[in-house]
Amino acid sequence: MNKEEKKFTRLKNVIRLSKRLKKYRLRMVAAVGAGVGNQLSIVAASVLGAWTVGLAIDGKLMQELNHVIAATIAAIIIRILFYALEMWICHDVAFKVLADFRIQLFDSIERVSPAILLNMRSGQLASTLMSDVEIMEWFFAHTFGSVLVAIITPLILMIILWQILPILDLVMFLFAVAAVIIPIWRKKKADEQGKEVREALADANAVTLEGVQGLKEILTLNYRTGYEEKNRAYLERMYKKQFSYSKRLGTEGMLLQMVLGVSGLVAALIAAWYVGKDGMPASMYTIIVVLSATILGPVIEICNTARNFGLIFAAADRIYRVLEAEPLVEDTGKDVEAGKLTPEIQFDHVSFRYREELDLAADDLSFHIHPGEHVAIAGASGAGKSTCIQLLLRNWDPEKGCIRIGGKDIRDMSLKSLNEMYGTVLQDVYLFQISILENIRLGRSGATDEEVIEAAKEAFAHEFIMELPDGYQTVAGEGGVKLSGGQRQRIAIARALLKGSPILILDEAVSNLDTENERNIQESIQQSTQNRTVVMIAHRLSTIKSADRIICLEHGKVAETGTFEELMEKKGCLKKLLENSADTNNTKKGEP
Amino acid sequence: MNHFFRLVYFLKYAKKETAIRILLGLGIVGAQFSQTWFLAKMVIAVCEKRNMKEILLFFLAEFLSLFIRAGLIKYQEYFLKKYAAKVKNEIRSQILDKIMVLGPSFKNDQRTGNLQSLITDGVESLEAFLTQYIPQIAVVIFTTIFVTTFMCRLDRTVGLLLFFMSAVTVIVPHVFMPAVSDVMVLYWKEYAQLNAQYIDDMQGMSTLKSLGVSKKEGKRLKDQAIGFAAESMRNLGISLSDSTLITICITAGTSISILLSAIHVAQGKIPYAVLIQVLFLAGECLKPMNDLSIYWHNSYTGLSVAEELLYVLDYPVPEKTKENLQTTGIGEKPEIVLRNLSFQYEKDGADVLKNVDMVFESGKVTAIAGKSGSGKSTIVNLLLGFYETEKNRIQIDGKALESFESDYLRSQISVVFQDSFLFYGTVRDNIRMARPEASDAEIIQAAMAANVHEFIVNLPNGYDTLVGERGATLSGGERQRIAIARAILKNAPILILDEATSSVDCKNEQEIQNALKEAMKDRTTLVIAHRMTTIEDADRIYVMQNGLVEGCGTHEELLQKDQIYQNLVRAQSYE
Repeated sequence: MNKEEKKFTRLKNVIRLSKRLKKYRLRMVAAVGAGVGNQLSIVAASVLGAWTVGLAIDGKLMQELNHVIAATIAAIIIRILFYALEMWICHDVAFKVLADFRIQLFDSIERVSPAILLNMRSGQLASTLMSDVEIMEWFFAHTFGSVLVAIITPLILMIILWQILPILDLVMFLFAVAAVIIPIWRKKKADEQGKEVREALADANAVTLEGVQGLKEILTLNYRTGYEEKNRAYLERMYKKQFSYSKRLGTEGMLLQMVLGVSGLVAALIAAWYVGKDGMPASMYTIIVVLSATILGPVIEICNTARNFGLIFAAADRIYRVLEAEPLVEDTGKDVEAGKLTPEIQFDHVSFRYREELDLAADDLSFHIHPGEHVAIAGASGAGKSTCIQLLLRNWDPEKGCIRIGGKDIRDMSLKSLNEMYGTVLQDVYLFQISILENIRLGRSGATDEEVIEAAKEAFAHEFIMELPDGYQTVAGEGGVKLSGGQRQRIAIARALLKGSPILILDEAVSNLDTENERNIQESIQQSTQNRTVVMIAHRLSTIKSADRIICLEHGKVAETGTFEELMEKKGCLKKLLENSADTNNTKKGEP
Repeated sequence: MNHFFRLVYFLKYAKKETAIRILLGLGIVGAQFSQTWFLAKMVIAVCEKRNMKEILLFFLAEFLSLFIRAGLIKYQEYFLKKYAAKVKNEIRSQILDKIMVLGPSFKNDQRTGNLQSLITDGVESLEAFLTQYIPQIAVVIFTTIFVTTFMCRLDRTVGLLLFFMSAVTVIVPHVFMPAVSDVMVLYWKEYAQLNAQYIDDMQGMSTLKSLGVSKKEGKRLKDQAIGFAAESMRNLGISLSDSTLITICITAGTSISILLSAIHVAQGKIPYAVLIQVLFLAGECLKPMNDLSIYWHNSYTGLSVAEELLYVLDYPVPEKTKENLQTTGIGEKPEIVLRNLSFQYEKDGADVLKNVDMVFESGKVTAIAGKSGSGKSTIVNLLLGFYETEKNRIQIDGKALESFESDYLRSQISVVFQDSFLFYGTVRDNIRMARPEASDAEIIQAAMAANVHEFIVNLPNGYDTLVGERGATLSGGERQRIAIARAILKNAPILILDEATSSVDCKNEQEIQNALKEAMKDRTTLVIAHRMTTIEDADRIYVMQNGLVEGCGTHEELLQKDQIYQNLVRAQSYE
């Protein structure tokens, strides 16, 4: 990214982030008002002190004592009120903005998935996004308003100072400019360093986590010393980056403090000269010194925050990349009742590639799956098996050709209706952090407990579920009980069976099952899906054998189709696949 | 409170740094104080219309103080990072050490589900407490003593008032701590939960969509997010209360000091020069206390992980670490005997193994067949010494397993697990891990034996390709074969294959089978698998069900006489 572009991005970021606050502009105005009030009352209290001192020096304090005491108490109370008010409103806005961001992110991801999920493996992106949202909180609650306060407060104070000694305004202005320049001056370096620190931190964290994840290996390979050395090396590297980052921060902090200090000093010196020359009263002098020492306070504070702007904008960028992502398919079709369509599938000269620079993943692909038929799609890695499923689910639209269900182009159906046609068991089974009962019930939200258990029995999951500590109430998912790949798949199968859709799609659904369970499930699927159309992707011989018909793919095209016996006799693609599989170790990278 | 001091104890590993941090803090406070004092002196000089020279002198002194302070601030920023790094490193390595000593049995402990986040974010969150709050206490104590004496000399009442306010500022957060920290802890907990739910749903979005419930889930989360925002606001009052109180103390303390002093001047008790000093210095006196309360707030999250952290560090180490453990005695083809071995993972839990008797003969291949959950993998965990058993139930070459030192025992066993973990690093490093002194030629030899050499040389950077979470993505089969190369390179007398091929499709399985045949030569091998093809050639097969040994023999023998085995094979022949 070149410099111009980057500048533009920053400005764009500020604008689009500010737009987000439109909803809350009244609150924001109130927050800024309270912030200005807070800052002004701090200054007022100081000036009041100086005024009191002046009165005492002039010997007039005792006559004015009641006023002074009243004013002091008022200043304290006003200060506290503004302080609490500012905190309150800022947090209110921040919490609301945070909620907005979360909601919108979810909606966007829902809209554009699974395209965006391809980069979301292992939850990295998801958790980055969530911590980015946190950074936004910081921006809206503690930065955005403060910037305005930092501009308004000094302006008001400078107007007051103008009444007393105009030349000091000029001095203050020059120092304010100097203060603002400091963080801008080293911005490029700050961005670079920030990026390096984040990367080094991610690396170091990952290596530290290897100590937990790879524990068995470390112990059985007697790799402990080696691992500890590696861990230390990565930590060292991270600290080095952090050190140079904080060195820069330190320098900037030092310069800001110098600006603040020197501005007060210079003002005091200039005013001193006026006292000597014009006979300005001593009490006024004290007030000027106090005023000019506090005037730049908010500016310095905001410049301190600005040292971290790189971080904020990087986070905003990541969030907006998701918020503004385009969905891959348009949901413009009509609702169709699932029961009204015959569950037959037709691929009609379908061509497709994942990205422009990649080869065709489906190349003029045509086949027909009849209602109630059980079809296995076979082929080497990269032959296009998963692509068929992706297109069928309409996660992508084909470049050319069309896919029809019951004679209807799937693009003419709403995504919701299309979804109702399918029960799916995908390769990566995802379980949510809710009870197993609810995880299965996701298949059909109205299902009774009995129906859920019935589905679990059909999927041969009932037995192991009953052996779990809390049976069906056991919480699954990340924080819950650890289930084996096979168990997870059986839960997913139960879910799909419960859904009861006319078409069942199984993507390598039985790859994690041990033989006995696999056979049971094959049988169960056969039984419970007698009237359903089943499309399955399989590597395993047993899965392939169990199908009514096999479609064997090669390079995105149908190479052959027929029953298992027919194809074995033919000695074509399938036979080759099963026999010489050991030699075809060419993993193609055209598929996600 | 107990946790409080236990945590402070970690600073003993950075005594020097802690001292420097305190000195730096004092230096900065001192420079700030003298800067302001010289400013007051200058104002007095101006008011008294002294000559310009004297005014300039104070000006220069003030400038010098400012310069020193700015320099110290610059150094502090850098130093703090270094200091924090040292402390956090120490805590991290203590946790890691503990995990290494306790082994996988501890990792599976329910209460430590968050080991990963504890070791990264958890330790990180201790930084504010250990490197800011604690040293600042010392700074505050010294400052208070100095300030009180200094201000008392100027105006006794003001000095005492400031002392009182300082004390209140330091104490208030601790008084409010129980209430505030309850709210904060609850807040963070709910916050983390909401975040986790979002992450959960985002990762599972394909599933949600395919089930047609994504919109509904979105609505549910939306309500929850809005509810959480409202809930947070309700709690805010409590968590704002102490910071508001501190603000009152500081504002009122400053104003009242000045007012009192002014009255004293009016009453002729003190000269007005003193009053000007009070005017400037009163605010300065309370600044370190304000910092202290900010650091205290930042420490909350850190204090909330203390319990978990100490739970891990205090976890008792099994007694095995006794003296006189053997580091020799396992031969080239050891014989392993399990005698009447019973085992349960938790005390009073169900028996996972019941009176198991097995012999893994010297130099032979022994297999264990059975459904998942029959107890097969438990035997592996016990052989590796991950869990304790009753004494003398497992013998290697006639000696009790627990009489060997863990490191030695494990150095004599090569294992290939079901899901092999590859570390971030090159393929070469990952294989060499098994024997650090191995030459490149030996590594290539091992890779060839594991049937993975060809695959590796076709990777973008061959043996120097980076793998692991942040490197090239390898399929399950490819990972397994690299793990097998690792096991072959290790060249240990005992080889254990724990479901080594079960996550691999049939095409890859054949390749791995071939690789394994090579590895099994001249070793005592134990094969555990639920696929029969893997174990048909074993010299002896044990059949397990529900923790019991139900049969034993060769493949042919078992086919004839053993019902359970027949069932297993029948399921298999379906393939």
